[in-house]
Amino acid sequence: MKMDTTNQKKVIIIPCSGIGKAFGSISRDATFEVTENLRKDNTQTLCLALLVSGDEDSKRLVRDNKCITVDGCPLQCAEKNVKLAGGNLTGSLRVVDTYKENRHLKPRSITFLDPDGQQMALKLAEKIAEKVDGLLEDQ
Amino acid sequence: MNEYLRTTYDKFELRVRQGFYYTKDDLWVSVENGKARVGVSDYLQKTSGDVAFIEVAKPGSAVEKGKDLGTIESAKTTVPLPSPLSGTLEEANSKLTGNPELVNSDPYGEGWLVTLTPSNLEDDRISLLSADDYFKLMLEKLQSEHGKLESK
Repeated sequence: MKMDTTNQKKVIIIPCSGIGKAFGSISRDATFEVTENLRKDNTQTLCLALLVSGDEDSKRLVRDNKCITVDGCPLQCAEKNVKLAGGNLTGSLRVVDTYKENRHLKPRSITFLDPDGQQMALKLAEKIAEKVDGLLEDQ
Repeated sequence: MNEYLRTTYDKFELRVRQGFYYTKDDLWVSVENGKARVGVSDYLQKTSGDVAFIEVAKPGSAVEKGKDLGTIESAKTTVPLPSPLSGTLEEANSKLTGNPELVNSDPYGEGWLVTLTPSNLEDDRISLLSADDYFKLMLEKLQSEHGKLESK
């Protein structure tokens, strides 16, 4: 059944800005997969750096909409900063947990995701999409 | 005395806890009342990446110095952990079961791996390194493996 999205607020998905590790790239790839493909009508993403810098539009966006953070590593910068901005955090995911569920995948490359990294990003995107669906059903 | 010897590499600060013994394989040992606690050094956890899986020998099992104590695994690498001492494994850190990232966030504290009752502590201790000597070894590893170093 197709969901009626009229007048629905969007779920904001905020990936981490991690560099130097494949997991940061995976968090962003997975986010784009959801916002541009899997659930493009119901989601949008936001630049974490803009939020951290105090941009008012970004702060309003995370306060007025349900947010899901996607962090590459256990430091969870995206989650912490959405909370600090007073955002409506309704879910947080970590790439490392997707790795725990898919131990055979060993993403290495950082600048361009290798096949294992791409596969992990898709698996994570599916988890994000499931969370989005749960939030939309609650609305 | 400072609690840690420190150096910086790239954006990272690397610490070596004073008062602990170390192996050349980057494990630390803390001995108290005849019991030894074992963990991985800050250098090892930082070069390994985010630890997702930890496997260690079962409590009650005999372990031999230099032989397999377990492994830590990240997406980047799987690191075998040769036991720093011979003895009996008493306890594996149960907190690591759900939170292996404690090895990364607090390698010298809550991220400890196991406790052992050493069977030959005096002899085994001879081959362990002091914090000062391990710090020098770590600097050499950084120099040879990563090529750039800023000591403090």
